[in-house]
Amino acid sequence: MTDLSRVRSVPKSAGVAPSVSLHGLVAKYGLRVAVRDVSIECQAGAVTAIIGPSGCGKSTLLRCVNRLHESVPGATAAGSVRIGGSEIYARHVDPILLRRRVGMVFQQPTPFPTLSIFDNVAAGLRAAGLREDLALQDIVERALTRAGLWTEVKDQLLRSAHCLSGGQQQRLCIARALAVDPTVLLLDEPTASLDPLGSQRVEELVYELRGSVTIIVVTHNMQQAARVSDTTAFMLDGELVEHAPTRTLFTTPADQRTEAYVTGRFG
Amino acid sequence: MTVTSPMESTATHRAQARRVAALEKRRRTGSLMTVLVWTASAVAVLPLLAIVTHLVIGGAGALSINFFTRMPAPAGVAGGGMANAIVGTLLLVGIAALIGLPVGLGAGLFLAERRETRLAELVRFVADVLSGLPSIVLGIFAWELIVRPTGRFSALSGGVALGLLIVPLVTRATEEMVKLVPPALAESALALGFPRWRAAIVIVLRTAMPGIVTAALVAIARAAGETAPLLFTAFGNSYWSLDPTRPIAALPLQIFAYAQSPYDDWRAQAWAGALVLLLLVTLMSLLARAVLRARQSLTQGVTPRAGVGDD
Repeated sequence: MTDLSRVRSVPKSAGVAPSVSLHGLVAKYGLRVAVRDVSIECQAGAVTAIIGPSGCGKSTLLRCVNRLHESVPGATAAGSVRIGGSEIYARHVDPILLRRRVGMVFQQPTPFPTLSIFDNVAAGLRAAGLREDLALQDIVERALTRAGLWTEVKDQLLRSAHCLSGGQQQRLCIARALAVDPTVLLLDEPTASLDPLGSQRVEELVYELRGSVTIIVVTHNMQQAARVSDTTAFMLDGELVEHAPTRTLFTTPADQRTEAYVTGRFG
Repeated sequence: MTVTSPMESTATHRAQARRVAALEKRRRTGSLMTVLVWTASAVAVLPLLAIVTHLVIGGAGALSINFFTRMPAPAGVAGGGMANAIVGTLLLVGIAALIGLPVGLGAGLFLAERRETRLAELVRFVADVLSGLPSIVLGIFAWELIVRPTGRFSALSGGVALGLLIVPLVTRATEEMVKLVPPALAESALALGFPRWRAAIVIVLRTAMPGIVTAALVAIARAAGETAPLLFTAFGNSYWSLDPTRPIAALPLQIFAYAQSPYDDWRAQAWAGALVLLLLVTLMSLLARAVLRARQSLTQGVTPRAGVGDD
């Protein structure tokens, strides 16, 4: 009895969250180099924030971690990305299966407009071949609850997803990403299009997910990086300038460029 | 107090006069252009109005229940209709849609997904040439392809000719509509672990569907009114037939035949047939517009809706 209750209080996928380590990553669009030789270590279950001015390659870096980068015509990536110790750019790795373990949320909410709220959340599961309605219902409810949206939408699961507000749509996208139970979550400026209250909900969510999921979040908002992340990386012109515990990076950065950026002297 | 010399005052006077003149000229040009534009619009609308009034005057008299339910009657016998031609046109358009829609849809999706490849360039070029081809050429092709080997005119060959007419229209429309779908939607699907084909069909094609349906309806409406490709394929038939391997009647063919006849009641029927054709095409266009409105609300859904509170 006591054993069971103790087990239950532990987050479901605790301990499964893998580390993400990039080594010598170079990403290009055609001939244009977007990420230059970046090596970074994201600890298992931690929240890593990536900051930097627009066009510094933050998003491209993120898109290399679920191999979405290569879906753009002409885009290439070289170097090593290891998730939980295994190389994701190895020849035998199927990017489709990889993306089911590495969830992603985009800057703009992107609910599928033709699908209902329920079907949006179930989309990834159905793509993975899950068909049983009962199991789907269960997982959809859990995903929506984790994303903090369940109480708001539980009576309108069959309505079109675009009846929701922008903040709700973004949380729906997070629920959709969580439904397939990823061990890594990539957030690409997830609160850029949200109002302060919506942003706060997303930040709370990130805080709750830490430990059970390894999170990498790209953000323009330095206060946000300071609030949600364990470590922060600063990128400039496709290069990684500095990666340090968040408090250190914001208070006593080692690099002058980092200091200039976090104190608002450029960018 | 300011003192202005007489010279200065004439200078300002002249400048003001110039300004007034320029303003006057601008006004005149403006009203002239307005008149021109109005005239052009009137000239553009006039033929349609003239056609509609002509059709109503000439055809409304012959339009009755009989027209839709009866077979053609010999000249001089009252109460004939075009039931066989109406059903024939529906059948021909049905065959054409069965051929043209899947091919056009697939080709269009291919063009949108593989925009830059050599093959896509080629397919796009061929589709453009095909859509610019005179429709009688499609008729000759279908004749050569089906009528000659089988040795007889048939509904099938007519349907194939009309299908070829639909293919390029649907192809290009599908491509354009799919391109309008925000790429972020396809990327979200890929990021969820969708295989590329599934993302293309389940997410992208479905989102673009209302626009494609609109284009398909317009294409079908155009095919329904075509005469030339049917002249030596479907051929026409004065009797009832649903057999795709036999010649079949079609509204445009029947109109063609009746309009040339010396009999007043047949010519009236030709008018009525034309009126029915016009109504059919108008109905399809209205339907297409309704679907288009549904589409707009779909793509709007990608960006958050204004006025919905976030709590």
